[in-house]
Amino acid sequence: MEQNQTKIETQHFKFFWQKYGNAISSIILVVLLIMVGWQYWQRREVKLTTQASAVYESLLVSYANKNDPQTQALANQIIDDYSRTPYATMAAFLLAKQAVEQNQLTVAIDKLQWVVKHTNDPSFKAIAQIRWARVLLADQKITQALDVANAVDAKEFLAEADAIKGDSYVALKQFPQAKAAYQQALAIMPKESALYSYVEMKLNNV
Amino acid sequence: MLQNMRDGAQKWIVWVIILLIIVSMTLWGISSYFGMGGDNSPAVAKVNNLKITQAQLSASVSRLRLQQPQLFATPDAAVKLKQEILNQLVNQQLLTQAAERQGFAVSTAQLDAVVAQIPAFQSNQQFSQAQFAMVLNRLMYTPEQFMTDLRSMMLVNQVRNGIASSSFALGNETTRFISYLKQQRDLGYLVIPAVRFKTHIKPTETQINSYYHQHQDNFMTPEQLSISYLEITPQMLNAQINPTAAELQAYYQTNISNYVTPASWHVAQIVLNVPANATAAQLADLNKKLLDIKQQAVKGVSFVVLAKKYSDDVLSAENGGELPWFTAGSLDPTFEKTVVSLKTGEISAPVQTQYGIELIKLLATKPQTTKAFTSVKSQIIQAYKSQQLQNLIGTKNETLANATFENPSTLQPAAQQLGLAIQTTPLFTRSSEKTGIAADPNVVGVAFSDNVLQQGNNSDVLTLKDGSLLVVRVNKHLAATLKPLDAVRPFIEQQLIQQGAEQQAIQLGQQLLAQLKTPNVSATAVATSHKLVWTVRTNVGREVTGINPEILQQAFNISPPATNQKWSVTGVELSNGDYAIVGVSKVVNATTNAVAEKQLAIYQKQITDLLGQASYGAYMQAQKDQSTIKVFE
Repeated sequence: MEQNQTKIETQHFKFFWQKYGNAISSIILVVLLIMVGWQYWQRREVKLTTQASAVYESLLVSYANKNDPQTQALANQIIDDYSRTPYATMAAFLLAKQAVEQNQLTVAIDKLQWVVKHTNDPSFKAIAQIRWARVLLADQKITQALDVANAVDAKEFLAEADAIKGDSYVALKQFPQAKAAYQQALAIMPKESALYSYVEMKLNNV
Repeated sequence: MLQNMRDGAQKWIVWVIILLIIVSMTLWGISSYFGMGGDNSPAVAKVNNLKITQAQLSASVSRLRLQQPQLFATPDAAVKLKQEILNQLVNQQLLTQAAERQGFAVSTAQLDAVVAQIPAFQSNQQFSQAQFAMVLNRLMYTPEQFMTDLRSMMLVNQVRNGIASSSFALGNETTRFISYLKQQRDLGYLVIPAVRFKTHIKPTETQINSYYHQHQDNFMTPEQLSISYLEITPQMLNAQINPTAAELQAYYQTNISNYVTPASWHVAQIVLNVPANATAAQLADLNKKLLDIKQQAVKGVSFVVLAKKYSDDVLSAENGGELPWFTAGSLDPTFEKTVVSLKTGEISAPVQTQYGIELIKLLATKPQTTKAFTSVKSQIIQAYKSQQLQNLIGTKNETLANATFENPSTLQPAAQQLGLAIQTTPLFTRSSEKTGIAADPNVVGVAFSDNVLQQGNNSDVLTLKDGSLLVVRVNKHLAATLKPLDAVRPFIEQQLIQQGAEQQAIQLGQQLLAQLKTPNVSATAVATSHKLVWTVRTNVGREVTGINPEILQQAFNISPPATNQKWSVTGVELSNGDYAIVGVSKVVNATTNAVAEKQLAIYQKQITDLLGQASYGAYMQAQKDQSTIKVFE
């Protein structure tokens, strides 16, 4: 009895397999391929990021040791090879700082502009914009600095941007506007911010 | 169908299915299957749906308590600190998630490299697994938790470093900062003393009354308490313990093992290593070799020489096979059994122990000795007394606890039963006493507790620091009361007069301020017309002395005067109640020429740090604004 039952079930299965077997196999194959592909891509991304992370750690060490050529080489390596990781942003920031220290303001502007163009993160973008505007001010490009400061839209960075507008108006000798910009900066800046008394001091001298 | 699966003919289907499961497990990562259930500890906070658990919080609190117990001195401080730690955990979680979202990553290899470099995990300048385990254990960390926390720290650090250490100060910014910081100002000021108006002010009865009613909290006498208590001190109990000679003797006998020095032996050995999984033939060979060595020894070759020549135990071989003295129970049992059977000078037959196969020579024996009762009598008295004291404290504690609990409204029965006098303290407040039992914050806490103060019960038995037992109850309670108006009237009058005088000083000040703002007015003339003095100081820096610091600070917070003005003025209420008018007539900015190179670098660094901090602060705020943070409790 049971023997028979088994036989029938086996027959059914064979029929079923003959009819749909190819379709099922292909679906399984495709699904497997997609899974493998996705995993591969994922791992590649992780590998890229951790590689970038490791290079970045050595960049920080190199920078702390004031090894300028090496710092530059490592930073450029990160920007070239891992441009889609946030480490490229960090490397560009460091290069900009180095350029400022060597008084190469156009190089600094170049690096900061690169960040503004390439980063996906609103905070990093705002930091780059603010630094960019400051370098422009130092380079006597005052109206450009105002434009860049005006373009800052991340709300946590507006106070810093207002302070730079104040600096720009001072440089343009438009003192009432400068005063208003500093006052606006202080109005939206948290009192415990490191910048508060720095901006207050500027306001008190307009 | 299931039946079919078990059937041999269809085995390949089973294999395909199993294979699929295996493939998907390896592809998706088995860890994620186990990661999901895990932590059942309730959440104290949630950052974007990721839990911070009660267990995590407690562990962090305990960790800090372990390292800096003094921070937890008062319950208030402990509560505050816990809140602070929770905030930090939330922050850390928030910033970690942000770093991950932005695409920062730290690999296991990087983590391991950092761990290997942490000095606390090293012994002999090298990473030591044992040291690592020990330190983590002391910090109440499992290795997994530690690595998770370390990883999150490194992630957050990468971002902070990236933002803060790339901060810079431009030349024009430093120059401007210094020009303001080191600038000199010409300033003038006058002070209107409040005291000038005091004689004119007579507070009315209504004013006094309303002040009294509005500030009642300030006019309360503190709550006071006197307590009755029973105290049993260790000194009282010690006096009751007078051991007889027989009792001491009995104690000595029962604890004889404390006074015995066990037998010990001094031996030398010749050990041959036995290879793992040695065959019988190999063992027989080693045995024979040892028998040969023993033969040589019997013939008169010194054991010392033989040990140096043959023994595989390098350490002892150098010493002619000699081992340090050992006592019973400290070495391999077979070894010990062999040693015990030897006479002094005798060499054993080859014997297999955990050290290998060996010959043992007994060099010397010290028999077991027992210290005589008389030689340790003082020790015994002390040990016996302290044992008895512990027993006695235990029984007294029980008696006291029962008697005071069964009669919660009086200490009398307990006092009688234990032969104690009920003592009372003078009245004290929560913090008034420096000596006596009311100086102990625990006792005060219990005395003012709900059970004792409100319900009028005896307290539980308290154990004080010196081991004394204490039960307290309320003797007399004076609630906080409002002092009568007449007792505080002079104080209130003074307050009202001071307030009124300050008001009038401000009024006059504002009037003068308006006058000073009119063009071409002489400040000196305005001051003199009110019998005040306009003091002028020129070339004043921020650090100058000899001017009230509040006035000086105000002078540097004024914008320079407009071109058509002599003075740019403002008013300020001083902390002593006087009112000052401060003016600036000239501002001369400093040049960097006056600043040494080294100083310049310091200012540059200050600005760099300042701007770096500000950027990172705004970054943190931005991450907060983008997240949903829920804190429970």
